[in-house]
Amino acid sequence: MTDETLSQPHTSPSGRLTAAWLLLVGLTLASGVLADQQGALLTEGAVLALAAFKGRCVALRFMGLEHAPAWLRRAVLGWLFGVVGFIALTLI
Amino acid sequence: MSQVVELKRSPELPGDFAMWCFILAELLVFAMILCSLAWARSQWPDMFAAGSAGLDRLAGLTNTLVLLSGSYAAARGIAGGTGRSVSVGFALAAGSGLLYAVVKCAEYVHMYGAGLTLRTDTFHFFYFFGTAFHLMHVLLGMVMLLVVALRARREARLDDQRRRSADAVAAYWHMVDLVWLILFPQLYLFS
Repeated sequence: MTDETLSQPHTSPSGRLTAAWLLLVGLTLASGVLADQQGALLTEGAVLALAAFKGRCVALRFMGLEHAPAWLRRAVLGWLFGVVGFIALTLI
Repeated sequence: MSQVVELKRSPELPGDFAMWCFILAELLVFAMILCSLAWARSQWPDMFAAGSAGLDRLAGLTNTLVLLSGSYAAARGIAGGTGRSVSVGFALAAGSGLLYAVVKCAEYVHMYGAGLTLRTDTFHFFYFFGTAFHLMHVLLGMVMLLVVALRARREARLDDQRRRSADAVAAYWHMVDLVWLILFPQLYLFS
């Protein structure tokens, strides 16, 4: 999901929050199904990518960082992608 | 010729600066735990695969959905803009925290009954230490949510100070959710 699709201009704030929540629920269930596959590295990479995407969605939408000062958005997303990047390196 | 001047408001900090310093400090501590867990898993892959397989994945998935729903309730409460919406949203979020704690404690009791403790092996050390440390943050978040929910319930419209308090507590609650989103797959989903 891109920043453009995250911020649909014609939907109400509540509607956008509901859309984000439904997406997060769907991705959580998808990661549970994915984890049942026996694909090792590829599966774990996909599960980790889904977790990073969900984290980004929580940070931008629920935390409201899409409208926050850039330094704060960079700090939180930097934390998220830094940690996920390190975990990805340990998977290889 | 008319001159159009577009005034752009600079983005505001959601909540207050002190809370964000606290949140960022907490994130650094959790980064150490999450990265140490990942490193340990790379050193003892078989032990961690066996440990993950022994966990109740349904409980982990349930708790993820519960925390996401709590975050949604808190965000909706703030989006409502009234004391009542904040009060209801935060009370629901605190309720989700309670449900999370009950499921997590049931897992602990079950595992303790099976003879699994912090000292069993490295996987279980990270499992119990990481989830218990996270659970403490859930409990603290619940207390803050309930305090703000109680104070906001009689206000028709939130004043600036109450709004900032609500934003700050909601940001903390979302941070707890964010950390769980990375902790959960490492413990429950990686095999």
